[in-house]
Amino acid sequence: MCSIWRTLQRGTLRDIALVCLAVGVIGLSYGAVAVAGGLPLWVPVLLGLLVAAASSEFLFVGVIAAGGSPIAAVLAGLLVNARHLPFGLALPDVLGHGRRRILGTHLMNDETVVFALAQPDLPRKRAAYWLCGLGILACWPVGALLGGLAGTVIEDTDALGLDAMFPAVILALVLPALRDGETRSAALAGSALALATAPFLPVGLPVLLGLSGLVLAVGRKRETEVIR
Amino acid sequence: MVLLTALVCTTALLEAHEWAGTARPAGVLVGGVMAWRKAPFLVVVLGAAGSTALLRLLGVP
Repeated sequence: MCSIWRTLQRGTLRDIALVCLAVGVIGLSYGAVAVAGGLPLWVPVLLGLLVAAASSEFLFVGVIAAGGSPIAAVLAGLLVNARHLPFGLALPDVLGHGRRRILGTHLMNDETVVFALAQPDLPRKRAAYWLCGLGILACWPVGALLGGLAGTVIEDTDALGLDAMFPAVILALVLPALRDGETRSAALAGSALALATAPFLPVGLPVLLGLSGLVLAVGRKRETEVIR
Repeated sequence: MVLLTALVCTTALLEAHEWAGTARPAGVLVGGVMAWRKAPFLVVVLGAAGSTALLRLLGVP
């Protein structure tokens, strides 16, 4: 573990700590929402530990609280995070091998993936991924527990602008890569497609569809190569 | 990167299937501009949350 501290720069460590803290705060509201929706306190905490995927859990709790069946809730939860499949394909070396790989896969979420991608080499990618993952795995259920206990103390996290925090975190971390023209056009095409289809498709699918922006960009690159 | 950018756009602009109001995208935009100008990460994230909170305080949805 101490090699993680040595490998990463102080700035990165601070960023990871901040993200973990933000996740803990969102965990607070998640715990509060779940308990307010009539679920017993252990449900959000256990889900936080075992599922460890915020959007799936919010959706799961939301569907259950709205009176939906648990099976529908699980399916919706799986669909919304289907993007983890290509995430896993993008980062095979970071996850480790054997038993470690199982834990490594469990730690996968938007934040850990984006921190790993932002690091320049494999040792640093690995260190950032694991540190961020373990931090979130600790902060998220603890936040949910405190939020559940506090009930509805923080009634409206939206008033604090916390909902803008998550997209801003991801944006800040992907921006350096978007300075590259080719990546940018693929990302913009994908985002446009995701936004255009979002009103019609179940939550989670539009983001996956965004991947086809990559296909468009690669196709265009081939064309220019042929012309040359 | 493509997936994550699409994720930024959908989470910034939409809530479930609907428009998420003005305050959130505006806050994310502020954060984005700050990040583009190479502001520190902490400033970017707090700036985004802060400006969204401020806009909501002023009554923007």
